[in-house]
Amino acid sequence: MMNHQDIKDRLNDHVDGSLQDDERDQVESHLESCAECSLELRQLRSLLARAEDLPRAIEPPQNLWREIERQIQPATVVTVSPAQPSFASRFRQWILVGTLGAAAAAVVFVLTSTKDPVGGSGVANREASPSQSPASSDPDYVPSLVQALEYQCMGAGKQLLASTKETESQFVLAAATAFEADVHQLDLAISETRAALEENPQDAQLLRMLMSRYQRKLSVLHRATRFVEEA
Amino acid sequence: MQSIRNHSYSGGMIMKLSTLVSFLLLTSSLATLCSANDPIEESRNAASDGRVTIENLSGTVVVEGWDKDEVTVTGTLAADAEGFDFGGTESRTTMEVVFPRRSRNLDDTDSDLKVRVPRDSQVFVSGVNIEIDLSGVNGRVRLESVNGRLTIVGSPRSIEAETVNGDIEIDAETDEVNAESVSGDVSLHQTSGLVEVATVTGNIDVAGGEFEDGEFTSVSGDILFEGSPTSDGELEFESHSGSARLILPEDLSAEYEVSTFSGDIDNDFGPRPRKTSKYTPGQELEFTVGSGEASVSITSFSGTVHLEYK
Repeated sequence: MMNHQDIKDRLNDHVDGSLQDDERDQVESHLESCAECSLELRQLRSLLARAEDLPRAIEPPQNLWREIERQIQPATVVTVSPAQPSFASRFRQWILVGTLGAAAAAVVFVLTSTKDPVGGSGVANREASPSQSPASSDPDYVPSLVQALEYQCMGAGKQLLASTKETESQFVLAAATAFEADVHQLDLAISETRAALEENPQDAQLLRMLMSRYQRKLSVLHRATRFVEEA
Repeated sequence: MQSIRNHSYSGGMIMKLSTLVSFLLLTSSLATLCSANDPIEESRNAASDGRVTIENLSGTVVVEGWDKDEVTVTGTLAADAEGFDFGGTESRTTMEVVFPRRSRNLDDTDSDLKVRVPRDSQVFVSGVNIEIDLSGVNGRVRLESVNGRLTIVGSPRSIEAETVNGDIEIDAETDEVNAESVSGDVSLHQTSGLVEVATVTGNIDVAGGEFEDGEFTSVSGDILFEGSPTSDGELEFESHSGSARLILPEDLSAEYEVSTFSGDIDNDFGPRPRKTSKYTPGQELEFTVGSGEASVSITSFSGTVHLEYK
């Protein structure tokens, strides 16, 4: 009988569908009663869904965060191999996709930093000095980050469109239309927040809000794509 | 000749076997696949805590927990459905209304199912234009619809509910809720524990409950929260243009942190908000009541924030 830690160690394999029947049953049984493992499983699946949503080839915009560009300049087109045998290898490939991987890391960094920056909260950081604010350490940081997020959303939108094109089901078309109308609402919120951020580029709270809107849009697009593909 | 006889004998056996297999397959499919337009009335034995998966693209699904180790389904099938597939094992019961793969011009697509499941079952229901009504189930539940209301009553172990246009109504004593809608409203009554609610244009309405960790996010929908965190719980609210109105216990020992870009902050607890900067119309407010074990954080772009006490 596996204990909590044994189960945690097998969550990756569970997501991959590579567990034996008895192990899978034990994991599923444990998941029913363990909120921590259930949460970790959801996070793994979410990460995997994002990794799978990445386009096969990415040509990064020229002005995308100079540090990232420096790292990827030798190969401006990064290709993801279609062979994806395990979660771990897919994850590694995801990390290797320079632009988006770095952008995602930057998102995490900024979210963490703005929530609990150098000795303070996001609110306290609102008028922090340039040296304290992650948003202001590089003059191109904010536009580059926003561009990276837009790029991610664009990729997710393209994938949804491609999945919808192949369908012959009126149910799927109805669902895709519903999702599309609501993504429009998110675009309005994004555009408002962006305009405010352009006026106040040092405002870490606004940057965090913008990230949150983009994350929400990505979540809606991923959900729509999952739905269309499953249907 | 011997070999011919043997061959002939062997061929006969194969024919008999294939006839038997065909018969078994036929009777099996008759038992599990109903035709369109038929009333549905099926039942299967099921484990008391097994998994029940229900797929119905359009119509209604009513799920009720009961004390028998049996899954039953009654209802009517849409005229344009190809059939109703009911199968699985005792630990994993599955049912699905089957439509033709090419389904662009169907007229009669609504199937109405009433499903009874063992009370401790895990129940997963999904569809597109579907209303789901679940009650009396104690296991984990996951409901998913695009256009249609989801209603959950009882005490499931945990709840995941997702819609796009439908409302989500949860009146349940449960420890974990994850509810996501886009334009539908989400209302929670008497829930507690770990809760995550997100909408885009839909409103969020929380009445009662004590939350260990609660996250409530909307873009343009309004948030109305009347409840409290546990003694060291965390509540986080985020809105873009919708208002956030929080009604909390007056003596709640908590740290409060409120921030808007351009929205107003009304605070009944005492301290007044200050402007975030001389260049922007936003406000912010931080204060602590008691020793501040719990935390309440509210962020809004242009929506108004109201903090009130009961």
